[in-house]
Amino acid sequence: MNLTKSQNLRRYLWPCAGLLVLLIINVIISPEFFHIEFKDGRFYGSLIDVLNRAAPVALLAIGMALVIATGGVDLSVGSIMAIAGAASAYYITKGVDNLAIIIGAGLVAGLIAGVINGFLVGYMSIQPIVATLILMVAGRGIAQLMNEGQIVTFDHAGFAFLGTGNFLGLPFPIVLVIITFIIVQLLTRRTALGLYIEAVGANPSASHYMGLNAKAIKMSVYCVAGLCAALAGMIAAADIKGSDANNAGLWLELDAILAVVIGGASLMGGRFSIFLAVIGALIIQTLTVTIILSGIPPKFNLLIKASAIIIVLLMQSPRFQQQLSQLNFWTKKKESNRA
Amino acid sequence: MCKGDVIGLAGLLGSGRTELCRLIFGVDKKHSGTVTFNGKAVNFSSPRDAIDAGMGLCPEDRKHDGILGQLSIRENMILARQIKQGWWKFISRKEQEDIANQYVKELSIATSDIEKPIEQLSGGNQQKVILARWLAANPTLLILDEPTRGIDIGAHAEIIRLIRKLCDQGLALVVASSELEELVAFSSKVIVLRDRNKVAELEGDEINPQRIMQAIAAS
Repeated sequence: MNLTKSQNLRRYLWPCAGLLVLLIINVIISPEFFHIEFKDGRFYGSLIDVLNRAAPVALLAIGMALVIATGGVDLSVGSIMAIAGAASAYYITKGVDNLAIIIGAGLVAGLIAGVINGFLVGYMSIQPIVATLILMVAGRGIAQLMNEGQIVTFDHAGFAFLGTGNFLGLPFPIVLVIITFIIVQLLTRRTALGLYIEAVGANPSASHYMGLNAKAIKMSVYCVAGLCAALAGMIAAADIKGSDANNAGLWLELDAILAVVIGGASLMGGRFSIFLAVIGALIIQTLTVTIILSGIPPKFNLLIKASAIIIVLLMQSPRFQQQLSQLNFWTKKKESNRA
Repeated sequence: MCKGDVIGLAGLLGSGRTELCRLIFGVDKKHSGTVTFNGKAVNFSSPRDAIDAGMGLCPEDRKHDGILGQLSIRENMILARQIKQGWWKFISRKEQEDIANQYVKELSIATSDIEKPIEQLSGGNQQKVILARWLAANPTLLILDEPTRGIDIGAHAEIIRLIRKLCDQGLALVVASSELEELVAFSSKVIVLRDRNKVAELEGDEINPQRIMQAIAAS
């Protein structure tokens, strides 16, 4: 009983401990880090800032966690962000004022992209990494076409709220992440969908023998990933009040995959936790802030980030833990021999 | 075939036992012939149809087609029933635990905890979990393909005892096996296959290893 419980606990322990260590380092470097003040109806502080900036990657990571759980991967989410931003910008510049249409356009764009990915992976059985690579490349082209090759800027107070607004004192992107998290968590853990996703990822053949429709499940996870990416894309566009097809969400798919992996998920599929995926996204963002705060020249940023991530992943690897304990055993034996 | 019947499928490796099981269950598509179930000709295009009609299949290749290695014993057990019910009718955690504990006790599965990943169990216990998975889904016909493959002797005897008990409870079973003694022990009818054709059908006193062997070997 205790064995498996402690194993489950350990899944949560490492990513959370990693985040905690980073936060403590930040406080040591900058004692102001945890300071939050309430001004003009909203909270201000480094911590809020970290949460706010992590929001797009956290949204992507929620969708990516489900995709990775089925044994797939979605490389196109960064491009979907650009498409969704462009779709919303298109309607704003056309003079549409109805917020529902503007946001709807972005979400529908994300959903269509998800359906394409889901169709290629689920129904055509194309390897996920290749199938989503198509949209990763083509997606930016589509976004450029929608923007007619320009960076489209716009001014729409309602839409800008998505990126810069406040709700209950919190920046709205954070609220969006919380809402998305709750919806996806309810859908996967209060119905059997989460179990189905894990079953398809753990053993596709056995799931088929039990009557699971793996194609439909894959389709739905890519659709969720597409919708999450569309939300992230609209936040990004609303934040800069413009749609930049070349740079919106650039390389964020890799951050999202990284967030899920830091959260302890296996790329082979199976068990997933969207909570840990969000923690992973927070770790990535906190690390970026740590590097900035510590005053290390920015040119070292990427290298430090990479090293820190390697350390986190090594700590999680059962193989590495095993070898580490063997190393301990070996040194102990040596000592006892000496004695 | 009636309630409480056990039909044994005998034959050499490659004679079509597994293929027949897969075909009945809708995993493979048939080229000709009909499958009749409950007096009706059925045409299953996927296992889902077969499950909805009240069937279950414990596949031959347990590791590849049976267990969900990372998932717990509890999840492995309730999944078939959950899929049959549909995803929105979620079996609550409490119910899941009740089902799992009940079958762990009934099939005397040796494990300390129902939350253990199934891959940590021995072959015999894994097979029992897969059996429990289908029993939890309340089938009327259960197809077992090589239920005792790669299982130690103690568990072997236990599974045979279970098969007997199940058919006493009124479940219809189709069991494919390459072990003749095993077939003789529980079958009420044995069908011998060779080169994907039925070559003999043995009933009652005719069911003994020698007769089956003769039917397999006769050319």
